[in-house]
Amino acid sequence: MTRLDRRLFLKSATAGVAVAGSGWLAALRHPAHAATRGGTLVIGVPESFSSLDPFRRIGRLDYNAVINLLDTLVTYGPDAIPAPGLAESWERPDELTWRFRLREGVSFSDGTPFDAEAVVFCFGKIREGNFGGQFARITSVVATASHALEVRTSERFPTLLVELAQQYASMVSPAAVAAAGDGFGRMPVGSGPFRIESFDPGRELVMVRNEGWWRRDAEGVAMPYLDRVVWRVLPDAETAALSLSTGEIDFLYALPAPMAPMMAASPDITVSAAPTFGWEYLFFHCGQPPFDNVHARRAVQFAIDRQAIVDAVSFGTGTPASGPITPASWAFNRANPGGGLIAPRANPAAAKAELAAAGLADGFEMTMIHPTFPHLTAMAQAVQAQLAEVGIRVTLDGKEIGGVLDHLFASNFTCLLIDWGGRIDEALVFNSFFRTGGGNNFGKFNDAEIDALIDAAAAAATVEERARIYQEAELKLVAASPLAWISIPSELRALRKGISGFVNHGDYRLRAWQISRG
Amino acid sequence: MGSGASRQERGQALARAAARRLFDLAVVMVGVATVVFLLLRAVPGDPVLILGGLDTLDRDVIARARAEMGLDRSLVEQYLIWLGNMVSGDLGRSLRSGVPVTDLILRAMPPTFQLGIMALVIGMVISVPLGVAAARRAGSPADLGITVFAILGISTPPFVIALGLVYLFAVEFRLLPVAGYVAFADDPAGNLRAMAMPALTLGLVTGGVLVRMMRRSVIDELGEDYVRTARAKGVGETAVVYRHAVRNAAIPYVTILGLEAGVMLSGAVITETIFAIPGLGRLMIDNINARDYPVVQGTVLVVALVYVLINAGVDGMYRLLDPRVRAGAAR
Amino acid sequence: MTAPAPALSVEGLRVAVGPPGRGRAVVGDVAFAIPPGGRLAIVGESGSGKSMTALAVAGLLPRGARQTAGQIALGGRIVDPAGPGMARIRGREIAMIFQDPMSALNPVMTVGAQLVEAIRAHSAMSPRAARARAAEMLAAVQIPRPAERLDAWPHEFSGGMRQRVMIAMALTHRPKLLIADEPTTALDVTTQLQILRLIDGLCREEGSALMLITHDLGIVEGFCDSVVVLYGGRMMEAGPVAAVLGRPRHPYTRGLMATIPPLDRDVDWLDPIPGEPVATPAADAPGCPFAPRCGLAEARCRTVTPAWRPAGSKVAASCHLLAPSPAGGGLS
Ligand SMILES: Nc1ncnc2c1ncn2[C@@H]1O[C@H](COP(=O)(O)OP(=O)(O)OP(=O)(O)O)[C@@H](O)[C@H]1O
Ligand code: SF4
Ligand SMILES: [Mg+2]
Repeated sequence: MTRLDRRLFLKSATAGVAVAGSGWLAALRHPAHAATRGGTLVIGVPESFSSLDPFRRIGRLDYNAVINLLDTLVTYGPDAIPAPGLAESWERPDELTWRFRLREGVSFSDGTPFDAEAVVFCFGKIREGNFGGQFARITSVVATASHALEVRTSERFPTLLVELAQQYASMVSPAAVAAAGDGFGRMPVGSGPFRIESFDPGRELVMVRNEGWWRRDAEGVAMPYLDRVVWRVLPDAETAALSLSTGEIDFLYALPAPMAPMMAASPDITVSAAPTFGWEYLFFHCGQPPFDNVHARRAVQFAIDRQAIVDAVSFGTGTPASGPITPASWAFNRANPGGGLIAPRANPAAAKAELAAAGLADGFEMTMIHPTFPHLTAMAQAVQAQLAEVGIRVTLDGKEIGGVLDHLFASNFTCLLIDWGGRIDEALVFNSFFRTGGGNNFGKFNDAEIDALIDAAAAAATVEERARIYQEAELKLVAASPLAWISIPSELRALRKGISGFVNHGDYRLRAWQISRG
Repeated sequence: MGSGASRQERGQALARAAARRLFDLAVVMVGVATVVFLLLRAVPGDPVLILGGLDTLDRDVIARARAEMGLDRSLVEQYLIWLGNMVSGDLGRSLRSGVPVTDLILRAMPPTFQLGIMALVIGMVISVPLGVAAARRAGSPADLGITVFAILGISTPPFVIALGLVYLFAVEFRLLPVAGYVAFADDPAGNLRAMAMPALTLGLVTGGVLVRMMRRSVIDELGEDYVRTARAKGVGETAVVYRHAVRNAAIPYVTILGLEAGVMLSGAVITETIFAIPGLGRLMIDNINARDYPVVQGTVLVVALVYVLINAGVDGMYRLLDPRVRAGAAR
Repeated sequence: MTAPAPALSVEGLRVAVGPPGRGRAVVGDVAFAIPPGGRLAIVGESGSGKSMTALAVAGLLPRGARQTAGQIALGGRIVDPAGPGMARIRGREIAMIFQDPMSALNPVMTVGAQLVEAIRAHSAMSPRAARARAAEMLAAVQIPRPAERLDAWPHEFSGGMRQRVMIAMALTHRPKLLIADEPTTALDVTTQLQILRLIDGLCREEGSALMLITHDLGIVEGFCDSVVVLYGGRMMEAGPVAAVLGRPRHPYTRGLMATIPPLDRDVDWLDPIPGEPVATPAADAPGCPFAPRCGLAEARCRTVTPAWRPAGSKVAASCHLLAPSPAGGGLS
């Protein structure tokens, strides 16, 4: 953590990231502290919960609560390697069949035993839910024994394990679902590290330890360590920070970047920062002028001074982007991020050369849509000023986020600045943003070579092989510039001294079962 | 006056007045319902897209979510369904959580009402003595001091007052928690501790408004002929002020009190946010931001209903305070 | 033989309005006395300072007006009308009724409560007893079904009835002096007479002296024995009603006499004198206040204040023309 503290104030963010990146996998696997048992952790969260029904499309904070309550068959850390969860092991006898061996002796916190029947029931819920479409290739789920399951698919389903590790594939108590009906989102019952003691979505979510959780730490000690976790909704950042300083809360879930230096200065408080999987970036509409010309896109790419933006707009807490793969990712090319094509500093000469190549030597005019969040507005203004240096005259069109998303979804923009939280699995990122017709490919980018690489990566056998293919695709993407990646936001959290076991993976997931007091 | 026949007549007149009120209420409700429905949909932003932002954008997921929320139906259909349900007392379900809107509102009402009532009481406790004192010494330094205090209360943004109180009571003296809410039923002392600063914040603002109102009204009333009559009778000055002037000043004061009560309902958003009170204001803002239409619609309706009730309460207070109004209503 | 002390004596009264120092005198050098049981009329056009004089005596001057000079004695005892002790005197020794009965009662208190308040302001009577007494008083002012009416609200009463209530309240404690400031101006003609007769009768019964302010010389003749004529806040002429009205000495009084509005007709006070009283100079300015409108005005009238001098038996007036002049002539 101290390492990360220092990082916060390092001027050279890339250097900091390299340091930060080296140790986190080890930290995940082996919590480096002798955990004390007991105690309560009070977390201040910045928004109300909506629902904890895992089968609905719920918010990021809701999902974070859900991973502390419910287990999945497969677990999946920031390393993107599927690991056993409620499924102890699996095999694939043929291309279209998966066999799972389920963990025995597990019960849901209402006492309902976890067995193959329960999993069959949950598959039904999952497929009825908002995310059911992800599992459309499944043709049957059959309990072959009390703790054995066979899943058959209509075609190859290489990402099944990844999908089964998502929160929308959580295992819940069939009895509790039946009893709760529509109210399940208020009181989800699973087999996870904690269970709900009380839940008032606009105020507080209180979880208590699930004494019978199956998971152990590296020393074989039962987790979780904490007796209780209180998620208290504190919508005002200022009072949330004050609550941390008075010790009313132990953990600030989201620390606004401008407050980070002040918080870090407090002797009782540790600030934790880690690059996330997400980006702050520009969408180009690749199907219409001027950005149907790759050189126009590259001109913008080169004209942006990422370091200046990180310093000025993100208070030094972000990282200049080097391409779609972020330093948080297992696929990140540490030796040569993004192939070194995009430097932290602007390259006006290169930008002008690209403009000339696009036949736009005198620059051009365009409108840039952006959400009116203060941080993104400041970023849009910085980009506007930087593009003006090379003759690209930008008119800003700030809209409330709802309006921005409407434009985005209708592909009704020339250039649009936005951010997103990222996904651990690069397959989901690449498929969605860069593949022809992908779900997030709102700029209508298409490149057959890149499509082929994306497909190849999905089929690759090992993590190393996948990473290599994604890095190759990244090089081509940076050259083709369907987006202009600007910076990688940091996940900023603040906690009181005396809280151990917290590791910031930059994946917006607080794993309370790893945390202990003292 | 007093005879049986006229009492019966008066009863009938009252019943007629009540029926007219109920009809007005129904018209107001349907009007509010329609305006809110249309306004919400005129604002850009799709509830399904906003929830989760760009995190899950799979078209199939979105289509399913939209169907579940009933957003795949036509606007007219959505409107009629909602209106129909509303008439039967069903405000629908939250798009995001699927929880009945009524549940959300019922949960958010107690903190808001408690906050509003506490703030109004504080405002009254501040404004009656100060307003009267200022009026009695109109033009004196004391009056000037009170007026400055009142204007500070009115013009200081609530968040500044709130943070000032927090620094003082929570950070400096550690007497009260910075923020958070506990229900009175769960922990009465904790509830009062949690509500003290928010109520004081709103109470100071509303107190400022009410002090000005009370001062002005008492000054006006003290110039009235009946006050001179009371003095001519040899009534002591304190009795002249409280028994005569203040009692009459209470009539315009109650009007402002009613307005302030309305402000408490919807205008407490900032205070509720700063102090993390899960009340109606926050329910409204959270769900406007999320475009959770049914929740916003339901909340606005309930707030409108409470406004109407507050107005009825103010009218009731008029009747209580002013015999001329009582006479007028029965006529 | 020593004459009994007058119920009220006023000497050198001055009243100013406006901020202290920059104020304007609206009453200047007013002096008169009312013997016990006597009836004094104060007449003059609108704005002549009649109400200010009365309110100063009762210590009820409005905010912004104050007594700046003069001495007031009640039954021979000097009082400070603006002082804190006056509340004990008002309602008991001096009582007052006002011009507009519609606004003089508190609209949100029952008539009975206001009467009871008046009674208990100066007596230790129990609320019950005070209520009984209030009913008696309503009966005395000839309000039918008085016990029932105690619970009525002022708005349920007509103007005449409200003025009766005012009279009842004013006379509760048998004051030595009743000040009635145009008590009938706001009432219709038939009611006017009834109310005046009521005041007259009750004052006689209680032995109260009466200071009656009016525009109406007919009322003066009918109900009063002496009269003070005010103009521009200053006394123009004063003396027994018969003498002053029978043979007015002062040009202003003569002007007033030119038309006496008949009592039985619903006519407002008609201004018989040309010119507007609005331009009246301050009550302490040098010269005669009436000079701008006086047909007989001379040069000195505008610069030299005429002295207050006897003008016949028991009559006094202030006019230069009343001074014996070497050139002869004059008004007497
Ligand atoms: N509250 C007040 N403040 C300042 N000036 C006043 C006030 N009341 C009356 N005046 C002024 O004092 C002067 C005398 O007024 P006053 O009321 O005594 O006249 P009045 O003879 O009673 O007239 P009216 O017949 O209209 O009652 C007038 O010039 C009037 O403008
Ligand atoms: S003093 Fe002069 S102006 Fe005044 S009344 Fe006499 S004649 Fe007229
Ligand atoms: Mg008057």
